[in-house]
Amino acid sequence: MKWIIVLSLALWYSSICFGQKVSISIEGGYQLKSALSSPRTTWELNSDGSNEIYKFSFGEGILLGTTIMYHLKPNWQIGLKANYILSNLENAPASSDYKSEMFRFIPQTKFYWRKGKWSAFGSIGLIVGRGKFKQSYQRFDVNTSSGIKDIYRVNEYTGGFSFGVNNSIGIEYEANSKINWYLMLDNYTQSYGPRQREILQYEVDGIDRLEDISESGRIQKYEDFLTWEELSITATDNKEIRIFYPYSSLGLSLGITIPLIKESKR
Amino acid sequence: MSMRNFLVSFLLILSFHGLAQKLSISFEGGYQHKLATAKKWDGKPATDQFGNSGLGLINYSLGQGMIAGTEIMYRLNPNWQVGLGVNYLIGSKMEFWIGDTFQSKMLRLIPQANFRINHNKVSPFFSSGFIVGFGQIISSRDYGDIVSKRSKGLSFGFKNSFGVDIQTNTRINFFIKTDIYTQSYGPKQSEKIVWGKDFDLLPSKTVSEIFVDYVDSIGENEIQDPNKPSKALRRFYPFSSIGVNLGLVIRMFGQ
Repeated sequence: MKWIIVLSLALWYSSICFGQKVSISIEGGYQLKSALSSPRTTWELNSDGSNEIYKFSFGEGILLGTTIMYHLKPNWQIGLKANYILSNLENAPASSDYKSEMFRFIPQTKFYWRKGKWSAFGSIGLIVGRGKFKQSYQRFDVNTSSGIKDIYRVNEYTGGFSFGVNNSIGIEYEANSKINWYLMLDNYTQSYGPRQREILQYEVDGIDRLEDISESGRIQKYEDFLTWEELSITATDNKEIRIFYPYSSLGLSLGITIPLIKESKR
Repeated sequence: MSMRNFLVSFLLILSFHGLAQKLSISFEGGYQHKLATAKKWDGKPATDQFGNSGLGLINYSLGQGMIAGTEIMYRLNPNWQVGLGVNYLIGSKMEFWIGDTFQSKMLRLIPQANFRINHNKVSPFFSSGFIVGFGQIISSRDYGDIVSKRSKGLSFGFKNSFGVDIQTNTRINFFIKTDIYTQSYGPKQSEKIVWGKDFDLLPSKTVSEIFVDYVDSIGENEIQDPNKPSKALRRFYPFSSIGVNLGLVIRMFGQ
């Protein structure tokens, strides 16, 4: 996370240099799933033996973010948005839980249309995301030799970048010269293909059996290309072609903008 | 198609109230590139940069392809317009295995709102709309030996656009815009439309072999009747995209 600190410092430095033309915003909101999906891996067997699809997007959840914008013109800005989305999903019939986190860096451009103290705006940006998610599930594993076993497993999916597009429209109200309020409709179109899956917990009938799985056996790598040798059953590394998970969402966010700019022309 | 009836009645109602002079109609076309992709199966045979052969990732969205459409908008005031967009997507053919392809088609109805910042020559605008899509996915296996059509079921999503409107001295303006579609589609039925390229085997197949109903859940012990469609779990395909569209607007109202 060193690069986040470096980036933040660079941003603060630039805000000092260009302080006259910079504004900073802080926002929060809730996102609902859109362009939902049901990847094959989440076609989970229900505890009663039936099958059910699970429609979800990891984009659903609480969103917190900050934006720093440079004013090119009174009505045209460019800058960077950084936000964090936390998603807690439950697929109850399959006894599965998902917890996803995603940091997004969004270089963006924003346009304003002003009328008195009110203004309308629209923005568009490119998302570069760093994400991870945890999947926990409980299963009854039926085996002819050993009978029914109660399995509990936690997998963590990490690594790789996620790309997408963010766009928003909203209204802003100038409360006073120091602060503006805004409400916006925020749209994310994104997916994420992790590079690695690691088994973090493995319990059989309530007893920790993680030690039974070798260190290398706990790790599954996801690649964009695999040779036939790597795909053969004799291959030593666990490698699979990458799977993408949905992160698209639509939601409302509420925020405040602190203009560091002294604008004369409104 | 009920869409035509809807459009006609929409127009009729508006003109009945003598409001047609506040209407504008636009025509547009463009190419959309995949966005918010998913992977298809386990990849397809490929070669890497070192010449090794193996399997490569297929990163796809069925929203990629050519789009042509029209919009009819009603002007509420100089800045705001509301209306309906209709467009048609012919998806790019995607090869997911040697000789096996996927191709999408989708008709989209998009009730939308448009906000315009008026300038003399070049006016920026943005619009947002809700998509109701009628799609189909044609999958062809073994160089067209077995072709199936996945269809039925509605697809929902959002469309967002940013662009500039270039004014002329006539009733016609030109525009260029970026369109973003955030969408997925889970067909509810699959039907084999070709079974045997050289020798038609389709008549010899049962209903359950030809038709598959995609459902959200399947019970534990479902018995298959050969005279009824078979059942499989529904799957959602990505239809998100981003692209550049060009078009022209004809104002029906006077300046």
